[in-house]
Amino acid sequence: MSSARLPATFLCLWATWMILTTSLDPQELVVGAVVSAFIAVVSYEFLFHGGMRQKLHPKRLAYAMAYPFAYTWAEIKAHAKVIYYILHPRMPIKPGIVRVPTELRSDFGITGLANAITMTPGTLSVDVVGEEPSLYVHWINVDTTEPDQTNMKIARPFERFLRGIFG
Amino acid sequence: MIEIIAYVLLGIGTACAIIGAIGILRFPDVYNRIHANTVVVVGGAIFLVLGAGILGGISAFTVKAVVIALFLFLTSPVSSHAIARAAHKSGIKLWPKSVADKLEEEKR
Amino acid sequence: MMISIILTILFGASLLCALRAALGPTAPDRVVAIEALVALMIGVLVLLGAYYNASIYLDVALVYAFLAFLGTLAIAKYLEGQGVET
Repeated sequence: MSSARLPATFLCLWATWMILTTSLDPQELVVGAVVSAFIAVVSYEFLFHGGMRQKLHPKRLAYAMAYPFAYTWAEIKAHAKVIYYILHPRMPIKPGIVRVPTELRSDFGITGLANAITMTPGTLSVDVVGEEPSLYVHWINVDTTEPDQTNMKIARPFERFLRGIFG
Repeated sequence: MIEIIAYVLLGIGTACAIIGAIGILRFPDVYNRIHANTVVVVGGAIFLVLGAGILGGISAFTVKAVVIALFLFLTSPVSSHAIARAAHKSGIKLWPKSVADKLEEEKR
Repeated sequence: MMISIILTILFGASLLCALRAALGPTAPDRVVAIEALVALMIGVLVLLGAYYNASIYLDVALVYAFLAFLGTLAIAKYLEGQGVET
């Protein structure tokens, strides 16, 4: 599989260069090809694990298509809540750090979950522990500190999709 | 038509930016301020960039603006997480009225 | 007209962030306030680019975002109190 990884990385980098320069001038293209070839040789080992067949599995694609909508909905709800806390004269917040266990096992999945939790205002991942993966999350309005309940309230909206995408 | 959409996006972005800035000023400790910072970046900056990108119609300008929005979207959680982790490791206490600190209990 | 109103409101928001950066009792407070300030400035730069119809503002905004990201990571690494590892 390693034979296709270098060209794939190169093509992604070159496409990014074309988008950033927004011109098809030969000079730009040649410079872009040289730069992206150099970066691809240096860094291709970090990207693109696994086979193409498994990557483009239809179920995975379906989850990847549905994820942005679920994500946007969660984002809108969290924004409304935090804006309410900011504008409320007495600020009825109960902040605290809680432990959120997760069912995800792959590195990409846990990174995606931590990023999604941090991106929604109101929850902020402070630390990650490796043994039976769980996140320490700063939560602006702590309802419960029981691990099962926190998982239900914080991680569940993203976890289903990320498990479908990254396993 | 596209101008109306652009102005709606700009309006949402401006509202989120000013509210988030008020939040950064009002909230009591670092961790809560990072929540307000997320409001400024996600609700404010990304909507402003997208709205300004389509203000003059769809063109190369829009593509670049979308790239900037994507970059903000990808890097913002990483830096928020880094600052929060550094603050907790360097021993900055939570707001005294905080409810729980499981991470501190775990360390002990 | 609309754009100047928006820019005025964003100027007010930047003033609030700058106030927090000046007041902030601890170093992470200041870093968070300046991060928000950077995000607002990126929005202002792109808006100015749309207003003057000059796409050079977008390159400035992109490089500014990138450098601010690296700076935040470096400060976070420094604040952890373990020195800067490779």
